Amino acid sequence: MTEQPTRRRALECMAWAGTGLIWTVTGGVPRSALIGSAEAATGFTFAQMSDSHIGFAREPNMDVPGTLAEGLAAVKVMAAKPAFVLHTGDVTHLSKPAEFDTAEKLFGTIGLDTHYVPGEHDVLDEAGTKPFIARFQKRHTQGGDGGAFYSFDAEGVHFIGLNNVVDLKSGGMGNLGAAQLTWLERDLAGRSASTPIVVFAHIPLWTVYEKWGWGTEDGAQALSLLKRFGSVTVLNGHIHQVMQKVEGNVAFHSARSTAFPQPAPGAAPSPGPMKVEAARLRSMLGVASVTLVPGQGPLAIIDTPLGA
Amino acid sequence: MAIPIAMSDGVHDRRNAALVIIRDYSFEPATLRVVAGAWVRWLNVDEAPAGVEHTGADRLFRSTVLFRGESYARQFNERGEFPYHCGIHPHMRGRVIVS
Repeated sequence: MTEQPTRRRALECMAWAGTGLIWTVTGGVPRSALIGSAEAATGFTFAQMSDSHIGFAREPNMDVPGTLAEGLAAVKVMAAKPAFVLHTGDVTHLSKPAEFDTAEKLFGTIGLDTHYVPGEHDVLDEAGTKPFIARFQKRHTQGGDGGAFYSFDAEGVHFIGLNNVVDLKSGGMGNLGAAQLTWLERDLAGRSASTPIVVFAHIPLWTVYEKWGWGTEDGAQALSLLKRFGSVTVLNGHIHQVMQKVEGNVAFHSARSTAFPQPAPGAAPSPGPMKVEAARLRSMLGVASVTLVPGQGPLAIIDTPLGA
Repeated sequence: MAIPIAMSDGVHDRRNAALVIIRDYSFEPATLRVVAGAWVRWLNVDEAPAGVEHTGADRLFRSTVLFRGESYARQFNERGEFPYHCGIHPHMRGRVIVS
C-alpha cells in the first residue's frame, strides 16, 4: 500500500446540454451520475472550461458564443457550486479585441472568478501575451516578464497556471521554456509534499499524439518537479476531447471544448474542427468539474459510461 | 506550384516570389528550396484562417492572420534551413531551405 494522500479527490467530467453526465471517482471508486442529481459530489469544487474559440464561425458551430453561454449556464446550476472556473486556453479564435470583449462579457455573467491561461489562438497579436495578460491575468502576479504563468492558493490546494503556447516547437509541440521551469521550481520549493497541486495549461503536458503536436516538449521536466507531491492533477485543453491518464500520483485530464470537437488522435489526416451533425454537436462539447473531498483514499481517475 | 527564384541582376522581385499554398491545413509544398535573396509568398486558399511563423525561440518571421485569399511574403537572404508552422494550427509545418 502506498502512502495515502491527505485529501481524497473526486473528479467529475461531464458532457452538458441534453443528456449530460458526470463522471465521479471518489477514493478510487468510479461512478457516473446525471448532472444535478443527488449523487453529485459535494466539497470544494471548481469548474474547468476550455477552448471557447470566440470568433470561430464555421461548421460545425456557427454560434460559438451561444454554446459557451450554454456551458456557463450549466456551471451556474451545478449542484456542487464551483468556487471558481479555470479556463485552459483558446478563449478566442484570433486574439481580436472584439473577441476578448465578448468572452469577458460572457464569463462575467456567472458571477464566479475565472482564472485563465492562454492558448495559441490567444497570442496571435504582434504584442504576444501582453493583451491576454492585460485582459485576463492582471490580478495575478506574473511568474516572469510577459510570461502568462502564475500560481495561487485556494482551500489548501496550490494552483499553477502555465503557458506552453508561446514558443512552439517542431510539429506544434508546446513548450514551457527554461525561465518558466526555473520559476516553477522556485514556486514549489518549500511546499509540503502533502499539498494538493492542480496544474492547468493549454496544450497537454503529456504527449497525447506527437504527430499532431499534442504534447509539450519539455513537459517531462515540469512533471519531474511535481513528482514528490502526493496529489497532482494536470488539466489541459487544446485537443477538444476528454482524455485521462494516471501516472503515479499524477492524474492527467483534458477537457472538451465549448466550440467544436476535434478528431481522435490519428483518426483524420489532421486535427481541426470536426464536422458533425447538429444533433450530435452538443454531446461532443462540454465542461468539467473537479471536487476535492477531505479523506484518506487513494487517487484514481477512470471514465465509465453512463449506466455502466 | 513553387518556383525557385534565380538571382539575375541583383534585383529580387517579390512579385515573382516562390509560392507556398496553404490548403487543407497544410503547406504545399511542405519543403521549399530557394536561393539566397529569393522571396517566398504564402497564399491562403483555405476556408480557415492561417498564419506563418518561424519555429524557433528567435522567431525570425511571423505573419499576421491570413484569411482566405490573403498572402504573406518574406525575403530570405541568409542561407540555411528555416522551419515554420502555422500559429493558429500548430500541427501545420513546413520549411524553407535556402542555398
